[in-house]
Amino acid sequence: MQRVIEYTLMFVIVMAAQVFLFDNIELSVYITPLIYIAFIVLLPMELPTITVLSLGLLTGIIADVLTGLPGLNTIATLAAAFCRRTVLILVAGKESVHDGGVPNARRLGNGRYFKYTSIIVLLHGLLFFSFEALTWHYYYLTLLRTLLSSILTVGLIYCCQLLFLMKPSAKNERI
Amino acid sequence: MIMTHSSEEEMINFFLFLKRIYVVLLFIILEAAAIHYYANSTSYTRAKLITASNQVVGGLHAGFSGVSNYMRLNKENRALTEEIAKLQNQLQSLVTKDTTTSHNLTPTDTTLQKQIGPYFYTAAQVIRNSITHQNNFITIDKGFGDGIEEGMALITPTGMPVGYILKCSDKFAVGMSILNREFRASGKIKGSDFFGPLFWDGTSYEYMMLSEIPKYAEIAVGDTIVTTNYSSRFPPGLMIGTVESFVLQEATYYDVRVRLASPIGALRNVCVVRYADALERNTLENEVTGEIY
Repeated sequence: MQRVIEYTLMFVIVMAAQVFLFDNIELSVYITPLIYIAFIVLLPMELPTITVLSLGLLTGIIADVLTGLPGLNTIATLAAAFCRRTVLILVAGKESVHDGGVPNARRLGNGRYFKYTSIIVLLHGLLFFSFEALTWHYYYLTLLRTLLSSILTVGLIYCCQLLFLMKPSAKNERI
Repeated sequence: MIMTHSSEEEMINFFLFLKRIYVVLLFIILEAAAIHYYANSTSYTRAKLITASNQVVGGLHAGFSGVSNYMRLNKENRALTEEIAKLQNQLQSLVTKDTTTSHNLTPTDTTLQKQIGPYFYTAAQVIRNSITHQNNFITIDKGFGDGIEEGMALITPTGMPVGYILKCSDKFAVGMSILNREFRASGKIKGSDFFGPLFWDGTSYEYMMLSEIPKYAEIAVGDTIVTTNYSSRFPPGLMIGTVESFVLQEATYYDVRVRLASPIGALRNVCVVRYADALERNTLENEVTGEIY
């Protein structure tokens, strides 16, 4: 139950940060961090794909309504949610996924954590920016936007997991 | 008997198979639905969505923009005061020039609504403004209730076009930013009659593109680009920006890169412009086009 509250809180905070902060600050056309994907990335590993997919749908729809991009966030978030378990198994191994818990840097180890986060964020970003551009004419621009935005997003998600998830995970490890 | 048995088994196998792949199926269906919805969305749908979300978070956006407004007050105030003074001067000269239109002017009106020629100006505040997407929108804090209507132009207090209204609710209005890949207007080199379509190529929020300028047009870096009178939205002669560079395309026309006169990202105050003759003009133009084609 405590976990549900924590995740709800994180959802509200990353979504608010996305809509009120990152959609408003003027970094560059090339840098649009999609921080709300942190919610999907940091969900407990043991959750079945169907649950993650449903939460992905919810996240996508809410992000769509709040940012005024009909369907775009949903397309990217659904794919990220769908591939999450497979990526986790490939990166962290079946045992870790089976053991469950929050996929943070402490539990997975820095190397595996960044590998996992980067794959999901890049996949999400590539779909988001490709569908947003809807043209091959500026493919280099789309790739550059995906790369730069993803780097910033991965960094922000790292801060997110430090802020929200270090303490409970430390507690879990002691138990 | 054996037949029934095996067909039952087939059924069970089929359901087991379905159970195994139902997540994949669900994913494909949901993704297809999302793509379908996105592919069929237009700027109008997007504006509608933003209008809807403004009902929920519009107040919050107004609050947040209030905080950042406070930080910029000084600079904004100076620009606004200068602009008001300039407008007052123009107004004065208009009043003295043509006393027959003076009934349109209401000096006691404090809502900042002013009329110059066939154009009405209403001041509004930007409460939400995206510049980092490929299709950007501007939300302002005035709507139907304040006389804002769809199709009205948005310009900065210093007179640079920044977009036009797509959709209104009672208290808010959402406009297409000039930083939107679907935005179209026409621009020309100030002092000449060479004009071309003006659009955003999505690469930088400081530049727009002016295309199809004939190669025999005299053009130089630093030339001023202004709006034309071919538009039923923007008043003619508004400064869009200056020529940054130009490239000859297919040996026939120039593609001109235009540096915008003021940054869209720092937009806080705007004027909404109503072109009083828009309906009459559009109806007439549509009638003629309808007769020819």
